[in-house]
Amino acid sequence: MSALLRRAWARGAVVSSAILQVIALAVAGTDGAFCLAGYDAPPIGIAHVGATRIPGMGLDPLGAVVAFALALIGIPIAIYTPAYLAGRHGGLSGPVQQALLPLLLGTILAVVTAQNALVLLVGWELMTAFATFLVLADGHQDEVRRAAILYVVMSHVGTLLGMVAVLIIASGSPVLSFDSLDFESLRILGRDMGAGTRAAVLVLALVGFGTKAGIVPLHVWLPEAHPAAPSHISALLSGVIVKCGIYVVARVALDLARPVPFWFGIVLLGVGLSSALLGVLYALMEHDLKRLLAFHTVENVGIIFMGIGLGVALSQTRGLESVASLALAAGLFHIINHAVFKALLFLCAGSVHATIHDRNLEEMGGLLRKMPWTGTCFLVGALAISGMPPLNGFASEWSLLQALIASAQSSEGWIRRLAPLLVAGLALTGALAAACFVKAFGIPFLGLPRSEHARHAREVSLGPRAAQALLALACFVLGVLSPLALMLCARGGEPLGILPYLTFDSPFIISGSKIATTSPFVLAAAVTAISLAVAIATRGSRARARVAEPWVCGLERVQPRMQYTASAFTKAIRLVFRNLFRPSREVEPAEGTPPYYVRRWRTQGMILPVFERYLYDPLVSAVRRIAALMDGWASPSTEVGLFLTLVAFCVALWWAL
Amino acid sequence: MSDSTLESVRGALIAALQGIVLVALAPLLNGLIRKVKARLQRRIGPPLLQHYRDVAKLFRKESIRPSPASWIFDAAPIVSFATASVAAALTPAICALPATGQGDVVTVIYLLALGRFFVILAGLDAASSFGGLGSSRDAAVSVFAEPVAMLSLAVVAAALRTTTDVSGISLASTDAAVASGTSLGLLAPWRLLAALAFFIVVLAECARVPFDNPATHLELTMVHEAMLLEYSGPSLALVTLASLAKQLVLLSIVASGFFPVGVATSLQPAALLVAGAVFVAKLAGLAVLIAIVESAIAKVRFLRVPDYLGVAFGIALLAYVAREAF
Repeated sequence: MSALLRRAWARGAVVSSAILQVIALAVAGTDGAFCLAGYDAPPIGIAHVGATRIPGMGLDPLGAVVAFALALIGIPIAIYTPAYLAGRHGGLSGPVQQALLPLLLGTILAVVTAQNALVLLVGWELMTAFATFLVLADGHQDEVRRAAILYVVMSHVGTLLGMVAVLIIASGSPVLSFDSLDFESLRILGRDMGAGTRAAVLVLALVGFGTKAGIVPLHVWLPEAHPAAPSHISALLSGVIVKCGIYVVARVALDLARPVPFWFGIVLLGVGLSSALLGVLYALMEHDLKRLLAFHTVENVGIIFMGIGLGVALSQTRGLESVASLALAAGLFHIINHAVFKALLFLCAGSVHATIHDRNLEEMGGLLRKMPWTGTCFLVGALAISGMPPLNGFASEWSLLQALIASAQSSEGWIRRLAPLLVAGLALTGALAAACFVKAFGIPFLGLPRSEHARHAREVSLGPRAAQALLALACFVLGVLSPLALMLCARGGEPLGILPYLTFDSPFIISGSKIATTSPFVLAAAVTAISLAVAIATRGSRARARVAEPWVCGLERVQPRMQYTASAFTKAIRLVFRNLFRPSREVEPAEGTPPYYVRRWRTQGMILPVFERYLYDPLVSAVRRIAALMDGWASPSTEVGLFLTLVAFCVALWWAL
Repeated sequence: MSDSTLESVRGALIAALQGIVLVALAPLLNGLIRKVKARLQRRIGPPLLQHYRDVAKLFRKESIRPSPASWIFDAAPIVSFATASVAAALTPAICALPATGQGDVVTVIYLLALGRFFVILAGLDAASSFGGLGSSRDAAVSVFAEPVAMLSLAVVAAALRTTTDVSGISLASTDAAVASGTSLGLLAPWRLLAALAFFIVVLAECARVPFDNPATHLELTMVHEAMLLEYSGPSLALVTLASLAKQLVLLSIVASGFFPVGVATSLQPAALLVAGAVFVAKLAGLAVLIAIVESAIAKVRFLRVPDYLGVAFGIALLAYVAREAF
């Protein structure tokens, strides 16, 4: 009896905490939306109650974009979590996870509403800490612990660099106090920085906070941490926490260290394009569903940085203000869009994992018929991330592509030189993403089940289904209303002086000077109308359709093993990019078969992880060598070590005098 | 009704009419390609209207579904037909009106990509190896075709200092051609090169030689047909119509997007008639060109497809440079 009572109590606590979470996020989302729309703040917001402002905090359009994205995915996640946690076994208990979740959400909000560098950095560190705890939910598994440690170490090295960047700006001030770290005073200090100092600040901020954002080559933690975490945490990691990295880079570049030099825009464009292309290429080769999604986060972060970079670079060219505004708006809008569809995809991946206990695409198949809701929602997410009209991914990708096309008319030579490569690069990224998501949906959800688990897959319960449906709906609504959303996101550029130049004739048509016209709403209406008409006209023949075995060269029945696998599907692309992937294959007789008459073969294909092999492995071994060298000098006892620390501290204090 | 509402209603009607006409003409265009190709090879070839007969017959035939298929298998023909028809309504063809505007050409490419996404999925849905083979190859071809398509459209927009809007391209071209003669003219190097690059993309996207052979069902060589292998009856008719419409849409981008000569800029019946005749003539010319290409070169091995598209990318890049130089 008491066990039953305890379980009911735990369940009640989880559910009521989820409800409170929904309410709090609804408040935050309203505050963000009001801020973007330029209305007066609602009575209760993230950083204020009535007229009382929390010191060191406040919401402006740039932060409101991320806060809005958080609310948009946080609410479905809160609906998803109770049932998802109840179905998980082992690791951190459901109530503890549910208790940590609001802390994580709160620290994220603190980061995006901070108006003071100290608040920002403290919020940032707490965010990393809580995120790590939640990534460690399955900490009894070695690989999860390794992933969490990688995440923490990379995050901290990044934070250190970022902190240096902030302190360099603040070093112009005679005193170092809470007030002198206020954004208001940092802005004034930032204006007087020399070109060299400014460059140092920008580069340190990009490398430091960009680590959290997962730009190539600092992305290696993403594909480790995302699969290790429970799915709703992966959704938050990818959807918002990674965006916080982008947010802080943008905050430094667009706001604190402005006027931002032209070359930094070009750097952002380069970083963005390489992240986008390498992210999607590695995603294509991935068979672990959650690792695949994590690599796509790298891709989309790249797209966002391309938008911001183009906005920065064009903001200094006369005559292309509207294009700069569109580029920046597209980048910021993509922050929201990517949060929504990536959260959707991660939640669906979590639902699949919960029922078949596997993340390997090659073990799935035919899931759409077993899990129609999850499958259909995953399809919506796949279409959105591939940039298919009329969904939200299309709107931001199209806008960025248009801005890139228009930038070819810039008077700035470097933009003109890079424009064709950027246009083709973005188009290639989009096409590769579409190919990847054809694979990521088609292999697991279509065809025949490839394993026993997949054969017995079952649809998830009502809560997760509702959460997925909400996010799928959000993909659609954000797509159809994208002109309005772009208009609001364009306000994020105000600090840089990129005023919203987009013309706003109707909430359904994207248009502007030097920008082509499109209307996701009209596309949606026309395609839906024709589809419905055709579907109704041909419904008779579908109803009478005869069911037969597919053609398999005269064999009696189709077998699951005859289907294309995920690795077979991408073989052509793997071969074309073989210089990057360095694919290799081992074929050997399976264990236990006689060597002269082999009945079963075992094949293993792999690609070379270039960055791990040629960048991180040498780095790690160099650190190890240095550590081994220093081992000889290390103090014999703790006391001496502590004494040396004290001496170092005193020297530092003396130096500071 | 206010003036602007009236204008947009009129624009929508024109677009809808254009969509219907183009979809209706699409089988004829392919019939023409087949006829010319047959004559070049000293065959009589199928009648010009054979596709219409095929489609009409397919609509009366029984549907057979493969047992593993899900709703995607049923939805794919419908979605691909719907997207191709909307693309036909938005593609540059006969007229370009500054005010109503059909939107831009990039959107047309995106729409066609949506249709293809579903057809590729349908190939995987039947669980047969042929479907997977076709899907995998089609996905790979589209990956390398898309950047070239976007880049060549970007070249046109950049060279004319306009956007990728259908009306923008047409109007800038005609004005510019009249005003300055050569450098922005219809035979300027950048325009020829960009159109050539896009034409190669059209061959790839429409599953034509040298990328695919539309006339074969030989498993080693087919790409597009392999995806559709399990379709029958009305569904097959719909996907066939959709791919024919897609071919016409892409060719009309070449005809009226890259060479907007003779495009009507008003709604006078006489102007529309002339524009219609010019458009048909341009399409017929392109059909003959495709027939010649298909008779002159052989289908390449699949793994060499990226080489061709790489060359097309180089041509498009050259066009971008040529825009500055000439």
